Amino acid sequence: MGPARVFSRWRCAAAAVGLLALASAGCATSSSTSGNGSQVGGVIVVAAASSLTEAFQTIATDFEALHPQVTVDLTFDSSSRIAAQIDEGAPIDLFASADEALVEPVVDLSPRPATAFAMSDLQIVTKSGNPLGIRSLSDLASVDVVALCAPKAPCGKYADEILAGSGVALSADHITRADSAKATLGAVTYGDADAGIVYSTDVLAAGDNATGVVIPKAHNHTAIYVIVQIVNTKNKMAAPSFMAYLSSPEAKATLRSFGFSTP
Amino acid sequence: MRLQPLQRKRGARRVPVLLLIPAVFAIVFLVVPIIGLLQKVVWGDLFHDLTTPQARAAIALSLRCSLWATVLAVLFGVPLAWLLARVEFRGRAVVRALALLPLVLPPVVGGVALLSAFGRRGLIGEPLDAAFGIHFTFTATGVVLAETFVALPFVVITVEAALRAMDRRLEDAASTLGASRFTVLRRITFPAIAPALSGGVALAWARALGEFGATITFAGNIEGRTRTAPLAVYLLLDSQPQTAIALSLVMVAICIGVLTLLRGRWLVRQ
Repeated sequence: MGPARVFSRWRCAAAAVGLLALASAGCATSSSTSGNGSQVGGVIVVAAASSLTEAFQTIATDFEALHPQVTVDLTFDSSSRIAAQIDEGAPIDLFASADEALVEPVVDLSPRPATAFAMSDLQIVTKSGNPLGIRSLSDLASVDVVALCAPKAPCGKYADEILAGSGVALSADHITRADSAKATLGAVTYGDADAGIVYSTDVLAAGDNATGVVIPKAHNHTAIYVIVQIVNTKNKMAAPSFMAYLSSPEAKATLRSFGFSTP
Repeated sequence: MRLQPLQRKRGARRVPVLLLIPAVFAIVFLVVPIIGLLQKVVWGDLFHDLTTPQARAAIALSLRCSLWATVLAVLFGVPLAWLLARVEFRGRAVVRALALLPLVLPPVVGGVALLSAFGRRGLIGEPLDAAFGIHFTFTATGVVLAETFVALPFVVITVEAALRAMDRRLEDAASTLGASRFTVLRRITFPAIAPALSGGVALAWARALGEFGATITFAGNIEGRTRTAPLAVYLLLDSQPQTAIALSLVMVAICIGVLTLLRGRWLVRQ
């Protein structure tokens, strides 16, 4: 009984060590950067504003098809939160922000200037078919709950500016704050918020689940999306290549198909 | 003969290094984040940060909703625990699993589920809205509902275990001696499960107080209405980090307080 017991115990330990080795090997391969001659390669981490979700998923797939050695890891959040994560040292190679102001702290250190690559204005979003008949910003004052992005997130900042600029005052206890543009959209499409203010491209991406109401140009805001390379970026080859690809005719066509305008 | 106990004592004191090293790592891993939080606190401004209108509204709402949720969890959880412990019926294992589901379910999924049931277009929410104009979303009642959903299992799990562990012969003896069912419950059953119940209540309350995912998904994030302390921490982290950290500190302090009061009572039977 004794020897057999000891043996099986050792076997367990060996199996555990083996698993650990496998796990660490897995980590190692995913973060290795294999510069293969002139061909760019490796993994780039692209952190993007949540409103870019659908467009960037397509663009990343297309980019990977052009550069089979490169893997693009995408992460989406509100630009303000990404900026805070970068400030805390998050290992991000490229930051696509919905607000130029948010890239300022990193752009001074960046090897190349930030590039503007897309624009979108904002819209009122309502439930599918606009059951409450919302026509203008002032109608928002009479609905029960309006979903807005967090005040620091670009879409929240723009929405607050738009409301202030058009003289519509919503009381705080009728505003629910979601952390990003996509979460704000979700509060209207899936949740019980009556209306919200998000990017026009978000309304388009929601398809039949939401109906948009145009905000007049005089009161609207055009968000300019910029991309910047983070200075401590691991992948010095692929990151500029992805940045350049965003200005290519192909990427511009993709962005336009998702409702963005391009410079 | 006096040597033997001495030897055993010495043996018990020797801690195997193979266990000690990972155990120390575990302690460090659990403690370092709290230290990290503490060193971010601006102690001089703490009082000011906690008395800002936003922080005060969040703390007040959190306390109110979590206490209501705890009361509801006890009112509904204890009878359910009794049913699971004392009544044999078909599908009892399934009912028990369902009662514990919120414990392991991702809270955001719980929020989506609550929305599908009690939202304005939900299974129950839609008829309630049509008939009485009652809604739960974006209301403090919705927060209480979300918190009760996640807190209930703690009451059920602790009370059921206590009911199973207690000596039922005491109850039988009391009945034989002529005590009414209510007297048995009050004089025998309740005192026997009281320590476990208090543990369950404390855990349920701590869980309700910390609820985030189900709340933000189901009840929204409206200042003063549904923005509880955890939601305020998340929202304020990029705009007013100092207030967010101060609120986090309050919640850490409350949780440590709860655990100190319990002294591991819900795990170790006394």
